[in-house]
Amino acid sequence: MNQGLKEINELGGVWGSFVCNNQAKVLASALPPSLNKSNVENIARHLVEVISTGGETIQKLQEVVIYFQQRRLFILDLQQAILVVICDPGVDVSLLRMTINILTTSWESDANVQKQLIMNYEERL
Amino acid sequence: MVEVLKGNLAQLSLLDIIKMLNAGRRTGRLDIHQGSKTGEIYLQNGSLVHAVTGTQLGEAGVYTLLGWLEGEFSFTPDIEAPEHSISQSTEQMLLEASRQADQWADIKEIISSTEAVFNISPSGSTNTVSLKPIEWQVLAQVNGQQSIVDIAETLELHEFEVAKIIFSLTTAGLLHEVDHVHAMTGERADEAFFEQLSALFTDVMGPLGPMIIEDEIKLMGEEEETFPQNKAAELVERISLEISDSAKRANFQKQMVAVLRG
Repeated sequence: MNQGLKEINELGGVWGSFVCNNQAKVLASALPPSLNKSNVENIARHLVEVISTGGETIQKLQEVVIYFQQRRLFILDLQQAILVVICDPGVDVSLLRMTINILTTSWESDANVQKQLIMNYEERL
Repeated sequence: MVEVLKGNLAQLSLLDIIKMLNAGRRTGRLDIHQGSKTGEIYLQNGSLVHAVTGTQLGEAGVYTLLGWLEGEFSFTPDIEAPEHSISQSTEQMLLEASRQADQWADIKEIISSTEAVFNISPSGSTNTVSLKPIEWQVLAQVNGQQSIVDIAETLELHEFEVAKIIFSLTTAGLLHEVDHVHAMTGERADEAFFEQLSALFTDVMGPLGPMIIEDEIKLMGEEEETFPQNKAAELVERISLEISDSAKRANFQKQMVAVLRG
């Protein structure tokens, strides 16, 4: 999973990415050192809440984008986990979305990734 | 559920569509797409009751969407609004929108589209110019790279408001429009890109592939000969959505992302 995140990070404008389970436990990350584990888990907890609250009210919520002045957060619901990509406002959104789709599609048939996701599967917060 | 109305904003303005739905006392949802941006407007018996686009809700959302001069729309009838975020009367809003549309007509004489990019004019103005705080904020964002849409997003203003300020700063001689196609990358998508796109897409979709690409380019308001490089990924993403098999779609995207990333 870490290798896949590194591929996302190679895109221009991507600052970092991580995958966390439904209880905000970080399963894989490729983030700059300025973000420590507790900061990331704190962010993850809020994002899981956003995804799960949105999922209750909006059907088939698959992607959430949060716009900050200096950053964009792309959050993708993987069902057993969520993928978060932190990027600059000028990122090529289409290129990013396709790169994420290529990666998550390959994860669907990757036994190691599936094992990791299943082993860490928990109900939503 | 049947879509009764579908089309392109370049042919029929959003204001005209809303006026039509208002006159017909229709209930339903209008979906509007411009590139990767989307918006929704809900009507109930012809009245505007809810709108959302990006972070903007209600009246602000409607006015932002009315400023989209390009893109696609579709109206799905009999969908109830999930909430009511509009308190102004529809008549009042349509009147204000008509006024804005007239102003847009003047603005368009100088500003080609909301994707247009401006830069500070080196010669400046020959007269003394005084700026309001909001005009200064917009001017401070003009850097030859950010479009009107980008500036509106950064300052959390309506695109119309930003376009109006850019229009007045340009007529005052402080700004000039730069070629927006070349502003970000200075390049147009080359023939090799289109050849690979067409070949790979035809492999998946069959002989209709090139026609689908051609249609999508038109829907984006572009032409193949002048297609900007910085929209190439968007075109690939849009046409890939025509591939219903998710594995085939990912495989097509993988090959095209490799092409795009050189």
